[in-house]
Order: sequence, then structure tokens, then C-alpha cells
Amino acid sequence: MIPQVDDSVVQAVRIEGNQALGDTALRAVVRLKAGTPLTRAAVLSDMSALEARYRQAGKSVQVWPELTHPGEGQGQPITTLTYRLFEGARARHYDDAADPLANYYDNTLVCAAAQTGNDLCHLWLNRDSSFINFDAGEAKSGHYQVGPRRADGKVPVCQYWDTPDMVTPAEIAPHMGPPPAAAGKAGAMVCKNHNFRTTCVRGVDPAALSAEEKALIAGSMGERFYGGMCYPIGPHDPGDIWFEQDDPLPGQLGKDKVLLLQGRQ
Amino acid sequence: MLRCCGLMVLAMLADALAVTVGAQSAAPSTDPDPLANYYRNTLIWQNQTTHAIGRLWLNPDGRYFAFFNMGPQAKMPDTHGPFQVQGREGSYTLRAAGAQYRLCLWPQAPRITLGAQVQGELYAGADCYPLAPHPVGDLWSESTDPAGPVYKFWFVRGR
Repeated sequence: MIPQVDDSVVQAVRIEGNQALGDTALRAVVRLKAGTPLTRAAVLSDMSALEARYRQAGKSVQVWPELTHPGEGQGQPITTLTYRLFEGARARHYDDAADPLANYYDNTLVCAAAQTGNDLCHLWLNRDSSFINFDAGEAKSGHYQVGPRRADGKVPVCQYWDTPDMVTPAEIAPHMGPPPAAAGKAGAMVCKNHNFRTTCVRGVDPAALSAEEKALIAGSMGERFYGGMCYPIGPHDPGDIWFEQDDPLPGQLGKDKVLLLQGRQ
Repeated sequence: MLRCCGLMVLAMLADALAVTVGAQSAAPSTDPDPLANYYRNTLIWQNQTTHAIGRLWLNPDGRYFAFFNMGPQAKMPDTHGPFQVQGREGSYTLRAAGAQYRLCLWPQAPRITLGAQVQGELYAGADCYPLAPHPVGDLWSESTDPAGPVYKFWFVRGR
């Protein structure tokens, strides 16, 4: 019922954001193709080839690889590698031997709605694997585990709240999601962690779930995060703003807006 | 009664010289730790004028965390804001003033200027604030001064 993602082989390769150079010219230098093994080395090689192709044309480009899994929430994940190009920007590289979370310590990761831009949560990651996450309704402490670096350079960060309890009084608690009755009619949502990845499937008929999967139906956000939720996080600089499409529960437009702020705020 | 929330820089400097980090050092001898109930629990407040909501955590090691919900913002934030959600961490000292206490907050550097601070919300600045011991589960309202807003407080179990 709940799919398991397999990133050993890429199923689709995309190039987006190019205007100065055509798709044909760029695809000619990219070696990853649908059906080939997906490795970090292959992605780094493609990034270098794309940058070289732009240099050859007298232009600069910044290449951001993004590993996503469209269809995952519907049970049919497609391992997709997208090279997102920012033409005219200076190429940026991070040392794979360095801590990809280094710039997050002592700073603030903000998750925001992709369409309206409203900030929804602020995350403070600490070096000792503890964290604090707060939003309009709650503030929670917890610990996190970091998984192996993915082909796109990001690492999965699995966050576990210290408690599932929600402590905010009802009269000031923000309303989130549909009322329980409506949610029940739409089916349950099940989130499962496997190999440092959280896969959430909405609209599931509980009767179709195994006994193990039934135990994964989490009623509240607190219960879900107490059980652990894994988010891909890549190296970034304070001041960066980007979109993340591989989150377990993406918001508006199927993605989350992310900001990395200087300092804790 | 909450009596003052004005800037008390001189008093804080005195705190820095006279009181070590941590809550117990300045407490009256009759009460070993007036903040004991605050550890592992959450003080929640709402400004009844601005409707901003805040949360305060006090740790026994002298660190504090303050979180603010400023309500929906008119402008979409960039990296400079404005943010609906804001937070602050730092260290605190507790200063006894007769039968009452003042909680003095020292935000961690770099001290980002928060919207909550500009708006003058509780526990947002480097300031001293009245704080009284309360049992967990207490609910009360207080005003800062005749011209100030009324705050509603919830002292809830857990974090």
C-alpha cells in the first residue's frame, strides 16, 4: 500500500530554466539518462558538463540538481533528477566532504507556503543533533538523525519531537486542516519511514491497510512528528530562498518555500 | 499585578555583575526556586490589544526561549521579513525586588531586531519583566500599566 522509494536508478532526467541554450544542446552533454544508475558522482559530472557548455557559449550558469519523486503520494513514485539552471548566476559548489548542515547551525530555516509566501515554521538545528521547531501554534524541541547524502547533494534530516502533546489552549490554537469528520470521509493519511525517507499517502481506506500500516495512521501533527518526519535539506547560504518539492507533505502547488535566515529569529 | 515592563538597562547591568547565570542565585532564601514550575512547562500569553501570542520556556541552566505568533502579515516575507512566526533565545537572570521578581532576558548574539520587539511584545527584547511563581494550569489576566495592554496568560503543562 505504501510505496518504497528506490533511488538506485533514475527514471526521468529533466533540465529546466534554460533559455540561452536549447534543450538539445544541453541534453547532449548530460550523461544521466532514464534507466542509468543514479549516483552522486554522475550528478556532479553532469553539473560540470553543463557549466562547461555555458562557458563555451560565453555565459555563466548556476546548476541546482533536485531529486524528486512525483507520484509518491499516490503510490507510484518516479525517481526524477532535475537540473535547475539559473543562467547568468555564478556557479556555486559545496564541498561534499563538509557538513551539509553547517550553515544551518546558529541560523534559522523557515518553511513557507509556496504560493502565498506566508511563513509557517522556523527550525533551529543544533550541532548536538537537537532542534527546536516553532510555528503559529506550537513550539517543540526534539532530536534529529541525518541519513546518507543523496545524489542531489542533500541529506535526509529525520526530525523527532520529544513529545506528541499539543499544549496550546484551544481558544488560541490555529485551525489546521479539515475538521476530523471531513478528514475521516476523505480517508486516512499514513506516513511511513523507511531508509531515512518519509512517504505519506493521503486518502487511504483504513480497511485496506495491514495491521502494521494501521499503526502508522497518525491523528495529529504532534503524533506524526513524534514518530519522525524526514525532510531533504541541502547545503545553502544564509539569505538563500528556494523551493523544495521532495518534502513528505508538501503544501501549496505541491512544494514548500524555504528561506535560510542569518541568526536565530 | 504586573507592574512594569520598561527598559531597565542599569538594573540589567547590575544583574550582570551581581548574579550568575541561573535562576536560583537571586531568589529569596524562603523560596529555593520560584521558577521550578516553569522548567519543562510553557507560559503562553496573548496581548489582548495586538492579539500577538507568545510562548516562553525557561530552562534550569539559565537559558530561555521565547516564541511569537504575530498573526498574518500583510506582505510576503523575504529574508528580512516580515515574519508571522519569530523566536528568540538567550540567557536570563532572576532578580528579587522585595516580594516580587523580575526576569531579565539577555538575547543571544547576533541580536536580530524582531518585529515582536519593535511592537513591544512581552519577552521580545533585552529587558526585565515582572514574573511571579504560578502553579501549572493557572490562567490569569494582567495589565502592564494604565496605558498598556492587557495580557492573558496560560501556564500549561509540558512543552
